[in-house]
Amino acid sequence: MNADFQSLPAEVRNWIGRQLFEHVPNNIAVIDRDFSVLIANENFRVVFGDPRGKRCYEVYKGRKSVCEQCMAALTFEDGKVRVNDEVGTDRNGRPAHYVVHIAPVYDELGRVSSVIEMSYDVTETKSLQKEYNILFERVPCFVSVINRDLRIVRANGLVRDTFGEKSGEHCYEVYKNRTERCTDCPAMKTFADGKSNRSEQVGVDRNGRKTHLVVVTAPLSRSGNEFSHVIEMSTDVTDIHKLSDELQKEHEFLRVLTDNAMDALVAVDEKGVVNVFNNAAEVLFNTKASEVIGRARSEQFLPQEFLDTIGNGSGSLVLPETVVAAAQGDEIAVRFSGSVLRDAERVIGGAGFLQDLRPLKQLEQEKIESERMAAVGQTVAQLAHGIKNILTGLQGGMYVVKSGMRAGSEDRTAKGWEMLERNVGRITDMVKGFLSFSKGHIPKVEPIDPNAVAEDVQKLYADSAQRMGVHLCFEGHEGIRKVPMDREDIHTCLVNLVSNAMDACQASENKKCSVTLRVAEVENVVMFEVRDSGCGMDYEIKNRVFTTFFTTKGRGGTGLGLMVTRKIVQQHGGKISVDSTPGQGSVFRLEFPRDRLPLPGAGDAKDKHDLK
Amino acid sequence: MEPKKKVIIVDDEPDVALFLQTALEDSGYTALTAANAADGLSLIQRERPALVCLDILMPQESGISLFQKIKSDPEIKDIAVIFDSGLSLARDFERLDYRHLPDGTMLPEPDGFIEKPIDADGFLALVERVLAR
Repeated sequence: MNADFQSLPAEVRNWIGRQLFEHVPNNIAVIDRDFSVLIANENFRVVFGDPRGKRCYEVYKGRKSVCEQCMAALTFEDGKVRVNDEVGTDRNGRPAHYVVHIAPVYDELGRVSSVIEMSYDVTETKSLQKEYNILFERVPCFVSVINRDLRIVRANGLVRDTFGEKSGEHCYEVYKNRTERCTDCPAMKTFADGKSNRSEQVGVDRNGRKTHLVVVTAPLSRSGNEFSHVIEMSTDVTDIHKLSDELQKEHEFLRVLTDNAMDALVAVDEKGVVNVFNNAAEVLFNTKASEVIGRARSEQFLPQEFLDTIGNGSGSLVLPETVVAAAQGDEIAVRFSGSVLRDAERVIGGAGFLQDLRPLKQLEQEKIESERMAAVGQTVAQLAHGIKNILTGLQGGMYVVKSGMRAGSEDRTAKGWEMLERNVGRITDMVKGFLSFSKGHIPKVEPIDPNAVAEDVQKLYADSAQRMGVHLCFEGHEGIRKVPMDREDIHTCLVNLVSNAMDACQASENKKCSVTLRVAEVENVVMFEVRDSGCGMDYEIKNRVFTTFFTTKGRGGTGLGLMVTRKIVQQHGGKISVDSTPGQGSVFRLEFPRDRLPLPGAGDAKDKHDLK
Repeated sequence: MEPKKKVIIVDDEPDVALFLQTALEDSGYTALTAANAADGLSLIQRERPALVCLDILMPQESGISLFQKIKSDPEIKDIAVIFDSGLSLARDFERLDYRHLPDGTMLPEPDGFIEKPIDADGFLALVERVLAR
């Protein structure tokens, strides 16, 4: 105690002597050589309870005997002041961490008669420290403390695991495997400006692998502005870099894909602002992407149905054929398929693919055209073939006439003349057939007996049927009412059908074929039926029999027969149908409902049915 | 005087048959006609002509079938054969694999082709050429 104390006012000296002991915010106890607590202040009593009559080890630690390394015992021996960390138990049995100062009290003889133990509780500080330690060690980033020499003073677990245990080494050696400091050293910057700095660095880990780091440095000061260390915290962003690289690649891939897609791709956000407009879209709409990206022009490029789909958030839309407007106001036929885009539940827009159908349409048109040209070519070939035969007949006729005249043979001249007449007749028929088919002619309608017409046809073919070994028979309908029809036309139809049937018989392997020509009326429908047991037709032929110039008969047919027949039947309000089984024969039926037949009177039928 | 050479015409078109017959007869040949392949074959077997003029497209049995029969029969296989047809012979005929028999035999080529419409002078020149061989 110095002289100042003696000069203090008595009440202050008195307060220091009495009250200070009681009110100082430390625990103070005085212990004698037997470790009995002689006196303790109020703080002490609050923490450990009333210690009177108890030994210090009982009070502090709940022990029954002196602690093994008792600091007080040492101070009793050597009189030195000691400071120690102790762990005890408070009056509530909770572990308490405190720092203890032990000071000797000397008696008149200069011996240490008792010691004063002054302690303060550091339990909270300790636990904080522990927590900070855990935080420091376990935080999922690299944390190190660096001094002004740029040596690592302390580093956490992750640093040790990743870069190796290298306390005391320079940070640039540890993090980057360099031999000299980095030019953009963030720690240096912080040492210079005392501020927290953020930077990106590329490190090399203990396995030589590149590591991308985001580094934050901060001054580490206990108080005031003075600081001797920098704390450096870094996060490994290698994976993020990788991810970003991959995203970049993915993005690039998608860009190439959309840019080179054959179909136009237009994507819009939920407000209709265009955000994707690929090359094909530029071509389709004849509009630059730069003019539309970022602008609300969805209704110009996407069909309204799809905008509605985006509006109500329903999945996707496919329009096999729709129309969009081109730049010049033209309409473009497209095939559209679009999907609504979502972020989880929320609709964020829509993307639509538009396939330009114009080239397809063009192709289709060309195909139809070429089919028509092929048909024309076929027709011409057939015609040429038919004409060739007739021409041969005409040439033959001329030759024979000439030959007969040269030889003075009337008989031969007459034969040649007949040939000429016959072949001129054939060519006339052919031309007539063409004309009646291509121009259409007006039927002369009069009440006729269907039995009579059919029987005429049967008689016409009776001879040739017999020659060919075909059994041709006729089944009439007795008492059938007269029917208003063009007699010649119906005759033509039946001739065509019977002639076809005979050909089918000839083409058949069955040598005993028959052809039946039948007339019937059922429920006011008049029917002519030609049934043969000839070769029959396969599906392909059946589908084509009514097509102009289709013939299976080589030079024998003009290919006009069934076409003409169908036209006549239709002019009479009827229909023609066919049933056929290959190898077994065919049935052709002409059916005429009476209420659809033309009224008697020339020229009437066509008009009536055209009006229908 | 040399005996008249005999030619048989097989054609279902009587006009063509008469035409060719007249043309041949006027040029000093003996010409016979048949209206179908079956009659033609028996006529050929009986008459042993120097030449046969054969139509290709005939109902019942085609000229090709008759050609194959002629060329497969040792008795008559050396008789010359000319095809006459409305087919474009150069183009269409090649597509018919008519010389290849099912048993693997390859028949010789016919001696000539003539396409309808037939020009009498051209026809007679061909006949003469074939028979001179």
